[in-house]
Amino acid sequence: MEMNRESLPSMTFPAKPQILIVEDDFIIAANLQENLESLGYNVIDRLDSAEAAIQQAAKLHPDVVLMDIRLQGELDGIQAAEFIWDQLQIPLIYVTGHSDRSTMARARKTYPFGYILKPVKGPELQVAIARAWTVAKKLKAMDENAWTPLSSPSV
Amino acid sequence: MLNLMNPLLGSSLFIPHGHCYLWNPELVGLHIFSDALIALAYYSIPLTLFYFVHHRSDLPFTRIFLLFSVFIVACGTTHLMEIWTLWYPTYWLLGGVKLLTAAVSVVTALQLVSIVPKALALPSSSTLEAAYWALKQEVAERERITQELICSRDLREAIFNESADALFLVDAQTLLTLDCNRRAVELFEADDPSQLLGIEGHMLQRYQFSPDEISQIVAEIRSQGFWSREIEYITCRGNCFWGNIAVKPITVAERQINLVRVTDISDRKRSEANRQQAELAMTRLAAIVESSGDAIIGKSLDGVITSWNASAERLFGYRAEEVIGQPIALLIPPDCADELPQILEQMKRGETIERYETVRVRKEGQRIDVSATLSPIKDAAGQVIGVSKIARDISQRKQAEMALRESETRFQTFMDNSPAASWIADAEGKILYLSQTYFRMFQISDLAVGQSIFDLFERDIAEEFYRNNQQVLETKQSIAAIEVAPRPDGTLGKFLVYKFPIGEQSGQVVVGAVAVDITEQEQVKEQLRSLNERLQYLLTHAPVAIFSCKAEGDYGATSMSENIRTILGYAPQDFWADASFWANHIHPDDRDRVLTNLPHIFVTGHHAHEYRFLHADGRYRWVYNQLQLMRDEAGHPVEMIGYLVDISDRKQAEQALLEREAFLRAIGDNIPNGYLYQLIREPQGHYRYTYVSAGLERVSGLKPEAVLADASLMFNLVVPEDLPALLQAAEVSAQNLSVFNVQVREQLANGEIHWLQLCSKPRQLANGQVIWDGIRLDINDLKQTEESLRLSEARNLAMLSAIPDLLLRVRRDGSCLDFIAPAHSQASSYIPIHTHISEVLPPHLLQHQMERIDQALATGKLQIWEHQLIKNGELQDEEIRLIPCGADEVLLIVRDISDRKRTEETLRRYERIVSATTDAILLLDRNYKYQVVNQAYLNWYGKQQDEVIGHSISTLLPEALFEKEIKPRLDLCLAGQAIQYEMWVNYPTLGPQFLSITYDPYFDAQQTPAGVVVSLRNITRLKQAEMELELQAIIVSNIAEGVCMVRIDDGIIVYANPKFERMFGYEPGELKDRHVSIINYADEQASAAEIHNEIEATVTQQGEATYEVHNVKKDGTPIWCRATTSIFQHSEHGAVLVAVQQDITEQKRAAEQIKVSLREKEVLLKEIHHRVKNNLGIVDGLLQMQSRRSSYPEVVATLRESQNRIASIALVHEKLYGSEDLANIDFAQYIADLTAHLFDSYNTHANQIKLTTQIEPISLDIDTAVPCGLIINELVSNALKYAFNAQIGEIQVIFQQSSDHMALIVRDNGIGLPQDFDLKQTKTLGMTLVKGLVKQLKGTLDVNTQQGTTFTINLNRP
Repeated sequence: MEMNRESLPSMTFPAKPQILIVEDDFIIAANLQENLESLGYNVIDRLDSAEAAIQQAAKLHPDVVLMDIRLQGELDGIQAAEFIWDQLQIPLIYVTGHSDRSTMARARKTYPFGYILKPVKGPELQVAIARAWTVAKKLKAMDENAWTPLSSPSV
Repeated sequence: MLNLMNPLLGSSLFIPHGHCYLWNPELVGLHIFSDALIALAYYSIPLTLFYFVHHRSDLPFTRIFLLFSVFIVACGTTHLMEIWTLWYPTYWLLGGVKLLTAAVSVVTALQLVSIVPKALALPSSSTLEAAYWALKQEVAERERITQELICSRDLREAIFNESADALFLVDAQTLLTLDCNRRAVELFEADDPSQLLGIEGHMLQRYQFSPDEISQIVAEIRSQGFWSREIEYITCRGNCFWGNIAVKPITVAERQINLVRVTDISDRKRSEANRQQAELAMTRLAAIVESSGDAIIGKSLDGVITSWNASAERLFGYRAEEVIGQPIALLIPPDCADELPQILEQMKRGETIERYETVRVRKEGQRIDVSATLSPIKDAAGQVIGVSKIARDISQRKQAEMALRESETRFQTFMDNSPAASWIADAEGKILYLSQTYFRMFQISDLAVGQSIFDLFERDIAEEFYRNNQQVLETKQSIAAIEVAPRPDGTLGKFLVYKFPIGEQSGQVVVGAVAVDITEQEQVKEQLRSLNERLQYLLTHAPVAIFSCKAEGDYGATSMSENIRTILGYAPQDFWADASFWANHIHPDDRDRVLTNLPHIFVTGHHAHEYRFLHADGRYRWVYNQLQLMRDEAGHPVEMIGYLVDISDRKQAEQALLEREAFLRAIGDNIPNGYLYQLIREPQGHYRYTYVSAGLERVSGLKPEAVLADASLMFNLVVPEDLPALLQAAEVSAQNLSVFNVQVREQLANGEIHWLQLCSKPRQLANGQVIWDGIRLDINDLKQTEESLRLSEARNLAMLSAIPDLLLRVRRDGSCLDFIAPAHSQASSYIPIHTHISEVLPPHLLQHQMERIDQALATGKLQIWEHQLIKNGELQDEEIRLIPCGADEVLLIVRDISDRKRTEETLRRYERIVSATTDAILLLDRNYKYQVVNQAYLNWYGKQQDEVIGHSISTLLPEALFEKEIKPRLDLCLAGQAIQYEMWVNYPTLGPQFLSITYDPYFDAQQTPAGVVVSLRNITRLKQAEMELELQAIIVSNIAEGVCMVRIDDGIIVYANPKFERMFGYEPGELKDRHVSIINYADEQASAAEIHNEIEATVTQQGEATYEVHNVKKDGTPIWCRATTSIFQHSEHGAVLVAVQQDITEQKRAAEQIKVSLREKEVLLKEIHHRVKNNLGIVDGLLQMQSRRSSYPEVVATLRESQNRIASIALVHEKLYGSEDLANIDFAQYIADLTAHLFDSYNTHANQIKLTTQIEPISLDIDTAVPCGLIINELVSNALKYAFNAQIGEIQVIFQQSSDHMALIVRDNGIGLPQDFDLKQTKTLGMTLVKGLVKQLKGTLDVNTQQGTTFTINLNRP
């Protein structure tokens, strides 16, 4: 534990983390935004497709992306997530109504920064965002030490 | 009214009591005073008692005090009444009061009696005092304990907070954290505990659990009471660490809480990893030692073995357990014994000995060479504590070295002692090696090694050496050459040198050479050559030509002596230049003979022949050759050598002799009707003619030359009957050398037979040959005369013999005189070799015959009779005719009539058959009249024979039938044609019958059709069976199922009905005789043949089987069939499988489609529920947003209520699409989730209000689940909102069920409902919903407000 702490670069959680929401239902997205803002986060954009998410993530570099799995357009959230983490190194949290096994397995196989099941609750959101952000930091640090990125399943 | 009162007051009747006291003022005053005083006192006592009782609430028996008060008041009242009655005589009233008093006093007394035991049990005041002290002490104790408890709680809290492990309290229902200790905050690097509270614990893990995993873990906790795992965590600041999580459910104040302990095990994990690595390294080392090909031995400093690996076992033959602890000295042979102390000494000094080669002894005593590396083993302090020895077996290497060295020495010795000089030179001619012999041979010292041949020899000699060397080097092949070199005596010698390339290991090629001095041999060769020349001269000039020739082909000459010129006029080279020269110059008449006979030489080894050879002058000369075959060592012919002499002179002398012989021959040739011959019998026994005169051709038509070549021609002419005698005579003549004189017949080529007489005299030669010189004469004329005489006699006899009867002349007494047997029969069986007929005939026949003889002689009449007797074991019938012949003699003519008898018998048998057969048989004449009918026919018509015979067939048959069907056919048959037909005929006796009818023409002796043989066979039953079969066949071929029949022996389809063929897409008849496996569908699992075999095995075992099978059509389309197959014993095919197949492909496909469609529907349904839930989620979101914008708390609260109601419905849909059957949800889980949500919604901390659920596992459909969910939502929300002012309490949700009944109970222990609450009147939305929904569910609602509020809803099970 002590060793781990020493081996990691020191980091600070941003005062007002920048969040990108990818959700194709306007009401849910708007509600999520309000929810986040009431918790002290800054929502920099709301998008409704995976393709737009990839574009905007590259442009805006949010701290965390909240991603619905089922989206309009060709790609789904899991594919976008892969791209966003692999290429942009931005952590991602799935916000989904799906709790069926295959989707979960697929989601987890990509980058398991966490998932939140709808309806979203405040405390859950807070923990998940903090966690995703810190995990991502750590992975990046490991990656710089030429460590193979995550591929092992949980537990 | 007054009147009524009067008896009571009665003042008018009685006198006042004062009268009794006579109105004595003192006495009256005394009574008034004391009664008033008593009454006063009596009235005051109850007051005091009341006061007392009122102030001593703990006083027991308060009722008795009350009674007592009443009693005393009553008593006081009597005393007052006493005063009253002094003046007013109301004694009735007084009595009434007294009666009341009495009643009260009696009751009191009775009560007192019953109380006394209890009152006695009451502690006395001293006891009470003691109790008081005890109590006081207890209070003090309690206070102390409370203090201690507070201490202990603080302590526990401190322990909880200061525990080295992170501790969490987790709500067992919602799995949200309720509390955590300080260590948790520290371990998870949270800013304050609140960051860790109200969250799901697994959110802190590096890899979160899926819902499935969580439910599995919860189940494990429930079942085992404990759950633990090592998990990687991430702190709030993002650091990872390994923790050991242990969960234990505990019950605190009747509430289920999971105590979760997380221990930081990062250090342990790390050290574990280190230890594993160290262990791995150790294991690897040990494995290396164990698997090393070298023996690795450890020994202590005093030479005791401490370790011993597998290779050591192999090398030394000892097993580890045998040697560990033994001194190492047991491996050291005695002659090396002093090595050990030395080695150990060196080891002690810390030195290492490398590749030390020595000898050691194996267990069985064998010595081995080893190479050992020894090094000291040091402890951590650097102190030498032992020796490690790595030993390798080098015996083989040593042996190889030794062998090499020996071979080297051997080679050296061999070279030095070889008579041939040997050396090696390189490409430039530099000498690399010289043998001792070389030094001796060339008188060159061994200093020459390293010098060049150009230094050692003269230039031209050295250059020749060099040239030869270069040739070897360029061609890389060895050469043999003769080189000239100086010999020690100064002369130049000739040396036979073999030079060969040697490939050095360096890749360079050098020349090796071996040389022998052949100067002397060359001189001997020279001498031989001159000798040869002299011989050649001799040969050339002798009259005999010497030659050699090939032993094959045309035997072409390979050499020919020179003198052939004088003998035949040719040059020798003419013979060898042309291989066929010799053969072509032989006289054409002789050539074949010569060439045919010459190969005898290969058998005998030598040969001689004479022939004419064309001289160069154009004339032929007789020559004589004698040849000898030369063979090589292996015995194969190499060539022939021989000589040739001109023998023309000798041949001329021979010619003269031949002419003389011809003269003699002419004489022989001119003998008329005969010829001369000379015949030789070889000792082996075969004959050959050496001379036959020309007369042969005249007599026998054979060419003399042919006979000379082949004697058998002569013998073949002899008629076969005469040949044995001829040969016999010849043998006798040869044996005895007697005159040979024989007559034989010869059959000539034209078929004539001639008689010849042969006459000769034999003589025997020394070689065993017998020679007859003789003459043959044609004696045919003579013989013919003789023959014709003999023939006429024989003819007479033959004529008699031709009579088929036996003729006997018998005397009256039975003795035979003479007989003539029939010629064609076996004579012996007829010849009465006996002289009396009694010896031939059995007694009863004899007697009869004798009688007949007498009769004939007496009457002179012919007697004819037949008898039967056994002759030669066979039954024979004889006809005897007896004719008198003079007075005493009779002629017996016996004829064998067995055949006739047999024929008769056969005919009779036919007749019997005809009459006995069940077929009707009749013979009609040309007029269609019955000639013969058998019994069967008569029976069919129920007629007698005489009613039929002679009548026309038309009388028995209907006219139309006869005219149309019968007559034309009969006419046809009478024209000679056989007819067969089948028809139905109605018989009076049998009814309609199906007949097979044949008409055959009946031919009389003149072979003209004289009638018709009619045969009627009743085949009705056959026909019926046939029709039955036809019917079945029609059924089979037309049924909707495919039917096929498969022969079990070979799996061949012997029948397939049309439906079967259509089913599999084959043309009619195409499947017949095909193997059944062509219809079985082959896939990866099984081939078609295997499928068929399996079917066959099953059917054979069970007799019948019904199964579904995957088949294939002709065009390859697979089809599914349901088949029923059974075994049937077919008359023609033996055991067959009869399979009835039905195409069920469509059924299968339909079933598959239904399944697919169902699956699609399920997906659709799931999707719908998901969408409903999502849409409700959207509504929820909308309300949430609306509520954020409202500044009125009432609006916010109202919206929240609506949100919760929506959530309760959305949760139903969520559960539905996650459920197994999409119709029922696990209501227990639903309630847990719903209540968790409500607690969350009302921001209720689980610390404050405890939720207890007792929910039996139950699943509900959507129609019940939604109302129930809403009801629970309302009731629990209501409780959360209003039940608890003090913020502490408990809500209980109970859901019970029985077989037909469910009860939902929501209970809180809060402040209860408002006073004016009336279930029926209430108009709040919540209660309206609850009432309405309960009604909708056809249930009942009860409210109990004792101790909080309890809503009980009873429902019938849907």
